[in-house]
Formats: sequence, C-alpha cells, structure tokens
Amino acid sequence: MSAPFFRADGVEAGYGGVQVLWGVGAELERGQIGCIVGSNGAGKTTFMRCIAGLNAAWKGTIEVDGRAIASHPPHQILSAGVALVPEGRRLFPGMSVRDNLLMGTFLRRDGSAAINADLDRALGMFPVLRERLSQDAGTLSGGEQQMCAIGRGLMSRPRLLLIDELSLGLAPRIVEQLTHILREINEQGVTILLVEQDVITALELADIGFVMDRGRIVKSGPTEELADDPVIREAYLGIV
Amino acid sequence: MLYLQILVNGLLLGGLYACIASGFSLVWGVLNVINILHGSFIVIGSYVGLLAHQQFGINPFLTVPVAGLLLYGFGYLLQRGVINRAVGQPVLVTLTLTFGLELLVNNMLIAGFTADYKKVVLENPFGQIELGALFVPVDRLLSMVLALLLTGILYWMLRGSKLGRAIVAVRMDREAAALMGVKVNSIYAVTFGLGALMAGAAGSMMSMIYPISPIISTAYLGKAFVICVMGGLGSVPGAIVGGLALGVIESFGSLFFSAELATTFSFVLLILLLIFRPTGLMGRRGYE
Ligand SMILES: Nc1ncnc2c1ncn2[C@@H]1O[C@H](COP(=O)(O)OP(=O)(O)O)[C@@H](O)[C@H]1O
Ligand SMILES: [Mg+2]
Repeated sequence: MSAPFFRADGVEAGYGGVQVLWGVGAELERGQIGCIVGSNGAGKTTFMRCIAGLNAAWKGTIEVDGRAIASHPPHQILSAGVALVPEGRRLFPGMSVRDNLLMGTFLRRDGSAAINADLDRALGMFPVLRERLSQDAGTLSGGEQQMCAIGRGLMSRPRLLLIDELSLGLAPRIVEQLTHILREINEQGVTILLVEQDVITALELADIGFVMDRGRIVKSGPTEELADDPVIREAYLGIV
Repeated sequence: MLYLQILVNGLLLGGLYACIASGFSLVWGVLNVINILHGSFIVIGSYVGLLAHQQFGINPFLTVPVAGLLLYGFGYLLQRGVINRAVGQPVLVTLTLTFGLELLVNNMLIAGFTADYKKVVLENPFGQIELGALFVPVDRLLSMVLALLLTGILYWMLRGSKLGRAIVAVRMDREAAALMGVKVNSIYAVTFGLGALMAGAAGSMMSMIYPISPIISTAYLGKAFVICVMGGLGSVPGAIVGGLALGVIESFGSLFFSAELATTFSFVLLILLLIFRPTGLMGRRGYE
C-alpha cells in the first residue's frame, strides 16, 4: 500500500510555553474530503496553522504527497500545493475582490493567460463575486467573503485545500451552496481538509471525520461510521 | 500678491516634504516602525549631492538616482540584518532600536563630515520664471516636480504592481500575506529600503535648498512626523497633501512669526489638528 496523500503524525504545538496540541495525527487519501470537528478551544485552528506553516510544529511529522512540510515556512508549503483558507477569512480590506483573488497567485509563474483562465473558473464557481470584482473586499457580506477567501485559496492551484470554519456565521442557504461547490472542487481532484463546527454539515460533506478534544484526536473514521457512533450522536448531534 | 508668492514658495518646498514623508509613512504603516533614522537618511542623500558637486561638479539633480539607490541598499541591509529582529515587538522597542541606530549613524556622520553647515551653490543656476510679480526659481520648481513624480511612482507601484500589492497585503494582515506565499521579512526589508530611497532622493535635492549638516536630521524627522500625522498614517496621498500643507504652513509661519518659529508653528497646528481631527486631514485609510 502506498503512503497516504496527507499524513500528520504526533504533532505537538502551542503558543509560547503553552502546549495546545498533544500528538495529533490524521491521514487522507488523495481526493478525499476530511473534516475535523471538536469543541471550541480543542486546537483545530492550531493544527491547521501548523499544516500551513503559520505555527511551528514542536514535534511530529506532516507530509503531503511524501514531502515533509512540518515547520517549513508558509511559502514553501504553498509551493508544495497546500493552501489554507484561514479562520475569519482574513481577506485584505481596502483591496478589491479581484486583487484579493490575484493575491492567491502570488507564487505562480505560469503566466497571465493561465491565471486569467483560473480567475474565470473561480468566478464561474462564485458568480456573485463577478459582480463585485472591483468592489472593496471589506464591504462583502459574510457569505461572499467566504467565497472570496475560498476563491483566493484556489487561485494558487492547491492539491490540498484547508478550510478553517467553513460555515461559521453563515446562513444555511449559503452553507448549502458552499458544500455543493466544495464537492465540485473535490471532484476536480483537490483533496480537502476542513474544520467545521456544524457536525451535521461536516458528516454529510466529508468522507473521513476526525474528532478533536483538548489537543488530541479522540476518534476518527469514515463519516458514516461516526454518524452512527452513540458517543458522537450524544455529544455533537444531541441525539441519544 | 505677496501672499500668492508665499503660497507658491510653500508649495515648492511642500513637494519635497511630500517625498520625504511618503517614505517615512510607508515604513510606519507597513512595519509599524517609527523610523528615527529617516532624518539621517535624508542628510546622507544631501551629502551624496554635496560630494558629487564638490568633487565632480555634478548637479545634485543628477545624483538623485545615486542617492536613492545607495540609501535603498543601506535601508534594505539595515532592515534585513538588524531591525527585522525587532519587528512585531511593541512600538517602544522598535522606537528605541531606531533611536539607537540614529545616534550611531548620526555621530558617524558628524565624525566624517563635521557638524558645520554646508550648501550646494550652483555655478549655473537655472534662473527663474517670472509671472507678473510672481517669481518661480526653476531649480525649485524642478525639485518639486521631480519629488512629486517620485512620490507618484511610489503610489502607482503600491497600487498597480505585484510587489506593491504584496507590500499592501503585508500591511493589512501579515499572516494572511504569508499564506499567499509572500515572504514577509523580505517585504519588510524592501519596504524599509523604499522608505530610505525616498529619503535619499529628496535629500539629494534638498542639498540645493537647505543647509547640510548631520544635526538637521531631527528637523527633517520632525517634519516627516508632522506630515505623517496630518495626512494619515501609511497613506501616500496623505503624505502629498500633508507635505504640501506643511510647506505652505511653514511659509506663512515664517512670514507672520519668524523663520525660526516656523517649525514650532507647524507643531502647534499639529496639536490643534490632533484635538479636532485625530484621524488626519485625509481621514483614516486602509489602503496604500
Ligand atoms: N495566539 C494564541 N496565543 C495563545 N494561545 C492561543 C492562541 N490561539 C489559540 N490559543 C489557545 O490554544 C487553544 C486552542 O485554540 P484553537 O486552536 O484556536 O482551537 P479551536 O480552533 O479548536 O477553537 C485554546 O486554548 C486557545 O486559548
Ligand atoms: Mg478555531
């Protein structure tokens, strides 16, 4: 059996002297959608930041397509094909939607024709953004901001797309639209790992689920199995 | 007519002030570093103009690119080697650091050039344009145009180029910029270099207008500071408006009070402005 496309093992990390992650591991095959769920403060964002290189991993390995990326600088990790859509979207206010999307192409060297084609593709996915191209990204609604942030992430042509808090603060109709688009992106060959606080959405969208609690993965497996797990049904779905 | 002449004099000087302040403002906005060295950068630019003029008889306009590039390199290396270690620390830390560097650089300038005032006196001045009773010295006009041109190029570069977008992105959110693949530390160094470049270029032209001595670096720094606060932090258009405004204010200030009090006058106006319009003349801006 070949090694999984994405693999994290024994990742420890934190802030200053405070340890947050206590040996986190996760694996995804190429083309899968994975989802991390867990309560507030469990360490989901910290883990995503470790993968993207914003936080150093104190210990452990992170590999994408056989390439070790743990504690590499963010630009190298992006070059390795990993893009993070961060928690809170973090668009550049004062820059137009177009310039925000183009920031995603910062490292690309394949010329403006290819970049324009991808811009067109992203706008095809998120048609509302087309009407707002020259508008200040800071004036977008929450849903539009998330679309712009995902579009910006896609503009780097990632092979692994990380999304931290997909649906937070968004209307159900928008969330449905986003999950639909993520499936589409996934079908085009992009492996996806997302953090999602809405467990129902998470289990529905993802192939593999990871439950994080206090800096550890306490449960993982195919989402159908997790959905039937009595502990998860009780803790996260409110069903006994 | 006298007032019109004073106004024109102020605007002529204000163009150079805009150039000086845009670099200072850029560094402050992007790095959150108040660069106390900025005044000395201008002085170094002036010495480049002076030395080239003394040694080779070169007009200080022609040394503008030399001074600019020299200071760019100096600024870039200083940021890479020293200041990057302190970026992200509270403003007081970076302020203390650049203050220390300023003492070092400025004392080296005094050791090398003495504190005596010098000036470039052109053998072949460009003459002046007379419009009725209005006199416009051509060298001053040329400096203003060139200074505003440089400031305009900086503005265009920030808005329209890939590097500029990276600088603006780092300014807005350096983590998000890093996620785009921007090497934040390089952008800091380039930005600091650009700030020094604007200072050096302006300094070279200032050598024809202002007396040159290491000890006037603080006067330049004060002006840059006043303009930056007047125009709004990190905004190039703000630096242009603030620079022209300071030029005019100083010009009228020296008419009504005295030349020595002109700077004091502008600081008093600054304090009034801070009381009544704390976001600066142009308001708070996110961009540039
Ligand atoms: N920048 C930070 N500095 C210090 N502690 C932090 C920082 N960010 C998060 N933490 C702490 O790390 C823990 C995990 O946070 P986080 O990874 O954001 O969790 P989650 O995304 O699962 O809600 C929390 O206890 C939080 O207080
Ligand atoms: Mg989080």
